[in-house]
Amino acid sequence: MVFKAGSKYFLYVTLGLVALLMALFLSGCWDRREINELAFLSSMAVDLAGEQRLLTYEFVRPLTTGGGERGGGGTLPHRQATLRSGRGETLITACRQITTGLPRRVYLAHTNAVLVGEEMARQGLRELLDFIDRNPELRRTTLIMLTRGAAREILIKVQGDMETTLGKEISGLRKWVQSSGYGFIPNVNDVFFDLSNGAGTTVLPVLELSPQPFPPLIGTAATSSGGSRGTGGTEGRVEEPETVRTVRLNGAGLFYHDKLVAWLDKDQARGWAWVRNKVRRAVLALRCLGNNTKVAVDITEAHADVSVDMQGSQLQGKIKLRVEGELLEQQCNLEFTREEAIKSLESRMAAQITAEISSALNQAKMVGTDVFGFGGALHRQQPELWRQLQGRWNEEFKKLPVTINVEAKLRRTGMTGRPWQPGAR
Amino acid sequence: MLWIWHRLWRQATPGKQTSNEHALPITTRLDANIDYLKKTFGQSEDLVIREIELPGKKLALVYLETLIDRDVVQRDILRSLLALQAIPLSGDEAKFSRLIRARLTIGDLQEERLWSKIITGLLDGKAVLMVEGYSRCLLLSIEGWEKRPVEEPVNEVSIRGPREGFAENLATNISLIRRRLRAPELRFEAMNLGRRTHTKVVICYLEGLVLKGILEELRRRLQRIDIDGILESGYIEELIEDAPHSPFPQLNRTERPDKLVADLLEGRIAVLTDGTPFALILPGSLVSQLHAPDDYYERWPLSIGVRLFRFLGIFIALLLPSLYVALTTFHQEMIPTPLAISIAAQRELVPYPAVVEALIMQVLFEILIEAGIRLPRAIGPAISIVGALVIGEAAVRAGLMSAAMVIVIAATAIASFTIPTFGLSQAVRMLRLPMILLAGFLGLLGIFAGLLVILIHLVSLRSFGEPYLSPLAPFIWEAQKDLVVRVPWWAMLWRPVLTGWRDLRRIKPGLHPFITARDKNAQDELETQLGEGSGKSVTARKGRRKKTRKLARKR
Repeated sequence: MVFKAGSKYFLYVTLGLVALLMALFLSGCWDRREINELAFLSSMAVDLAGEQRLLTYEFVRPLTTGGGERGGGGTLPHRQATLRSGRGETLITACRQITTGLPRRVYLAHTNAVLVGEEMARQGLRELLDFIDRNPELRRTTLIMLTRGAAREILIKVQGDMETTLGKEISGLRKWVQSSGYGFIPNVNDVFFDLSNGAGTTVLPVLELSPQPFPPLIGTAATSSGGSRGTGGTEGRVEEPETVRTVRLNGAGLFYHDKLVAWLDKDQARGWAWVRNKVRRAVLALRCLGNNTKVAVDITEAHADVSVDMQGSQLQGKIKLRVEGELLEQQCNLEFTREEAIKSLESRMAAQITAEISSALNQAKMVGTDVFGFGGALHRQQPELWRQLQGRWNEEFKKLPVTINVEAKLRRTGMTGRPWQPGAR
Repeated sequence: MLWIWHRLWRQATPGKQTSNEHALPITTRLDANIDYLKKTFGQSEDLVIREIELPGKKLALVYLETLIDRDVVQRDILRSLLALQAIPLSGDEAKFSRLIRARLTIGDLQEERLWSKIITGLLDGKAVLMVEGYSRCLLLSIEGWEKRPVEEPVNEVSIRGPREGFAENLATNISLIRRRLRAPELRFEAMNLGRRTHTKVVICYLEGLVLKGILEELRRRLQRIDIDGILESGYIEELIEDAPHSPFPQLNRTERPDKLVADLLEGRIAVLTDGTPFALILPGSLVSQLHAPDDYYERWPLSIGVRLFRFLGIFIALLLPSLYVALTTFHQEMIPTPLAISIAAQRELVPYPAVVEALIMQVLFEILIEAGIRLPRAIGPAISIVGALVIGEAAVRAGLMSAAMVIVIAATAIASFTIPTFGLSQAVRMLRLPMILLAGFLGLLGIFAGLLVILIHLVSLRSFGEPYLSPLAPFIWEAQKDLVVRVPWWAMLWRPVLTGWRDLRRIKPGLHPFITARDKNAQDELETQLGEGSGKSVTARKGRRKKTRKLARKR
């Protein structure tokens, strides 16, 4: 090709070089990171230690066999992670302190979860949220959870059972914990969303350790030969763990303007979840008439509407919830083919749900955090009034009378005829 | 240095043609003519000079033994000539030539005077019949030589469709085309290219459909060729194409007569070269190189799927290694987490970066493909299968390569074989290496820059006036029916606009077969039972009966 100006290839070459040159300025060789030089962060725990911030990172331990083989013992609970912690005046300083002890580059892009310790939460989430937002590698879809006490305890003590790292465990939990109705794990984007609207409140679920039983490890075949050798006494015996520490959700924390102000226990957390449409399925254990036996109803659909009306000069909050359920189990022998039985069951369903919701509502009203969305409803329905009340909405919320209206419908009872009884035909 | 270059340049200009020496007529003396022929051809082993003595006349039959059909010489020429011995012959040239023409049982006879034509004729496989005292001689066409029979083309295999492919003999190829396109407006224009090889090159087109401008341009470019020898159509392709520096072929080439005839029917021009089965078709376009003849023979829903896979295949063939390198080296956040961790685990063992690994693998694979073409047939398959698997596995085990890279390279290779034309797949292979380099240095932005350069290049290419990316680049709505999908044949109403606008209508509209099988069946059954034409009337009567019933109820 002739590169003289004016030859017909000049334009080709120039345009090609210009395209390449433009690409050079945006990403180049100096940005190159080999994938095996990266330490993939799976989850991190943020704590307050005195005046300093304490970060604990959980990295995925690199495998040395090809293609995802699990190393480690056959049935031992195995967690494939390494932990590092760092202290610092700010979160970034703590982070940099960790890199002084790590042979690889800290890579935050695949972070699954952030655990916030209680003290840090009481001090305020703003610092952490700012850190997550500004960092180009951390995503807003990272899950965020609360812990009672220090978060690093959980991170350190968890033993892997089904998943290799805690981060994977939490992202798996997020998917399936909604089936119980007791939990919902938000991501950082949800928290930003909640804290940015007028009411400025959010709810974070609480993660805690839960020891679970674990089958003991069968000793190795060397026990028989170990006995014959003198020194084999302690060799053949392997430690037999009987409990393994996994995590579970238990309740939630109420945040007002990014500071932790109150706790919700398990049922209250579900009560809150009913109102915010976070319940995908739930099980209600209701009492049979009379005796102490129970009937279990599985809720398959739940829709809630939150609204605020003006009753004269008084604001009235209204929660309207519509649920549908299926009867799954009963310990008494009632027949549910009759209309009255179904209706009474439905009213008991409504009563239980109402109880859960009012319990959560009372807890929220005590501290004046409107986590149910009344502020948002008022903003949508009567914006001028909202603007007046916005500044002192938490006080208003404490006084707000709320009516809860639950419509429950039992869709199916699982059987078309009479329930099975022993001895009957 | 400059002087040498100057001398070479001067020597190459025409004007010093060696064939001008032969632009002289033959003499009337037979032995002088024979001496001249012997001098021209030297002591050539296969020059046969057969002298025939007729009463009153001396004849000589000269031919090149290796180019003629010996049976014809013995059976037709010599027998007819020797039968003339009983006839008294006069000395008149015209009378004698009329007598010979009446007696010689040869189909193609020509009278010639010039030595150049005679020598060309001898080299074409004609026999020269020279008579003592006459100023003209006869050229008799008796060609016959070893040729390859018509076989299935090895490079363009199709599942459905004819299995005939072109052979090296030009006459065979022309006959294959003629048998498929039995229209009188099919024209074949011949010319000889190559100063020493005198290769016969034939331009083939449909008069009335082809665009005159392209034909003129093609003739001009072919006549401008002044080269020593043309051995393959590739020589011609490189000498007449629009953008000689482009990796993309601008003229399609094919070995299949059905594909060629389909292109002729679209208004394109074909160039057939003697001595090679590959015919050139111009104007070429990128899109037509991605279409296989199978697409038109199989059912159209299948063709849609197959074409989509093929388009995907070309992207995979070009981009997969570069994407892998770019994503694992620069943009690890785009890979899903389990995959990222798995790839990281595999790459633990490999001592060099992903770019280097990809480049090494690509180079080795190109070497393997190139060697595979030349492997002896006995060991070929064994080495390719066993070798590839074992070598790949062993390399992974030895820590020289990661397993993911083996998959990437294998997928790339397989995808590159979905491209129907070899020229385009060569271009893609060539472009893959720079793309890997770009990906390794500049990440995804490098890939985009590379794709941009390729796209700019493709968009600016024209092949004999037709834009290379049409009907995609100048977006032609009517031609979308045959781009990514293929609509059924009853919907392909028009030819491709840019080449066939002189006669756009290809098929009668409304040829969609029957929609309701029930109506058709009813009509057919009634027709077979009650006779011709009654099917329609009976069904119509049925309708009328229904109507009266309705009215009856209303009352």
